[in-house]
Amino acid sequence: MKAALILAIFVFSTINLSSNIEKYNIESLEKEGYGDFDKDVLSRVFGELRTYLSSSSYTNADIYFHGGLYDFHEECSLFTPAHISSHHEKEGGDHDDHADGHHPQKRTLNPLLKIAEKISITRHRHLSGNEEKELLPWILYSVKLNPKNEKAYVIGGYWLGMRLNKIDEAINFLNEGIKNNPASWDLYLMLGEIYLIRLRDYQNARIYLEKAKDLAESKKADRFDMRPIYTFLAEACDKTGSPEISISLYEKLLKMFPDDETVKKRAVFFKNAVL
Amino acid sequence: MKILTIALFSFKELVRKKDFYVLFLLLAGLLVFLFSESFFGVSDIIRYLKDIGLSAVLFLSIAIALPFSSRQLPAEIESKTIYPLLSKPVSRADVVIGKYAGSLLISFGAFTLFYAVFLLAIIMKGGHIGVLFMQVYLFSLLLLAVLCAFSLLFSIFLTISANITITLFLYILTYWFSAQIKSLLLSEDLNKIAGALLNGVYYLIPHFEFYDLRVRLVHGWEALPAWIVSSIALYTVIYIAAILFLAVRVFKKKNL
Repeated sequence: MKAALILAIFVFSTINLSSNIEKYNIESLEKEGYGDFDKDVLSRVFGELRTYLSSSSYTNADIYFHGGLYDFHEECSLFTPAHISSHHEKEGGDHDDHADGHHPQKRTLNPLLKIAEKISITRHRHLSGNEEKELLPWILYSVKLNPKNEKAYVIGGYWLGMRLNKIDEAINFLNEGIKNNPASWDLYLMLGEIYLIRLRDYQNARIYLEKAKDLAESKKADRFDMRPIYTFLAEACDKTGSPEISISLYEKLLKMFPDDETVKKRAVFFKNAVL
Repeated sequence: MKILTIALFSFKELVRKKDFYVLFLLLAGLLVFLFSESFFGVSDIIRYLKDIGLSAVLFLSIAIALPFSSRQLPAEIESKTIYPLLSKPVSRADVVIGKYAGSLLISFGAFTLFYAVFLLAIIMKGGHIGVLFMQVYLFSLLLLAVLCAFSLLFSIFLTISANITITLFLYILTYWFSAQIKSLLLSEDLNKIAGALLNGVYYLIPHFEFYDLRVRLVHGWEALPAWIVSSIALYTVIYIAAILFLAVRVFKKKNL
């Protein structure tokens, strides 16, 4: 009886609190991806919890990518698909274990510490080959719990389309993400990347990458966000018979990264191609 | 023999109470749901099933073990059945050990059944059952044994709800803080007094993290070498013996 009363007070307070949230800053919360507050009572009660669980699910995908370890270096994180692709290219997709020796440690005589050292996993390895599919449940759970989690859609699209050769599923998944997050340039970029690299469908790639460019420019994205959009769009424009657009995009890239040798080389390449 | 009789009497509680059946159905339902999940048409995805399934098995086993072990002595005292029990040639130490053995039977029985269902789900999903699954089974039993010992000790001077809360807090906090203390002890910048103090704390606190092999099992790491398994088993036996010794001492001094 007492427990039922406490539960009733909790539910009532939560509903009351969520309606107060609605009065004050629903729009800003929705923009931040904190759930759909205009939906049913359950969504209102579990709104925050869903967002938290979605983030946890996404983090779990990252942990799976690192063989169960969470204490890894940020540069190896799953959060940056562009990095994953370059990382896997460098390592041939079959990443080795590497020692996590960045903490200076001393020898100990404490037997319990020795046992603790032996049972803890201090190496980390990346998922590779057939194991990569193991990420998918957590990515799917993440977007089911919070359809505003655009990062999860991008990562899911990347793993499905670029790594697991599930191109149709990747396109459907990204389109679903775009439906739920129409202002996300990352999703258009990933979709464009799949059309460009995996399908060599340059016309469609260009359409999505142009959309990504427009959205990113309108939101004043920083140069690091703009770089992959311009790079891929330049490729797509070149292949669809608009090399002059590719040159102009590389001119913009040169202004953003004046000392970058790769950008310089590519800009020269496009100019020479026109000549 | 006296201890065994008390233990078997406690075990009958598991069969009588509905808690176990409800949790068993809950686990079966969860595993069926996880088993039937489809992820973009990709087959043979199994790690999520191992991860969530094993966590659920452990959680539900603890949910059985703690309330049962924390109820053992208070129930006897409240219903005054402890008096006829102690009027027989049964010492207070026999009661404590017998109740502990009963708690173990209940926890181990429940965990074994839960784990069997979990293994069945893994096999049906195409998973391979190796040595690590045996180690996980053994370590989970050891974990439950330590938790039951703590719960029985606390039940002598705490109410049931306070006992469950404190045992759970102890489990969660020491699990988290052990890792922090370990990294402090292994770091170079620690003075001698602080080092000695932390070493003492590290010896004293229960190391629940020793029993958690989920990461190894889920992510396909290698099984533990035999000497580690035996060391942890020995550590657990010594730790439980110390707790039970304390429990017997406290129970002997308790006014009934």
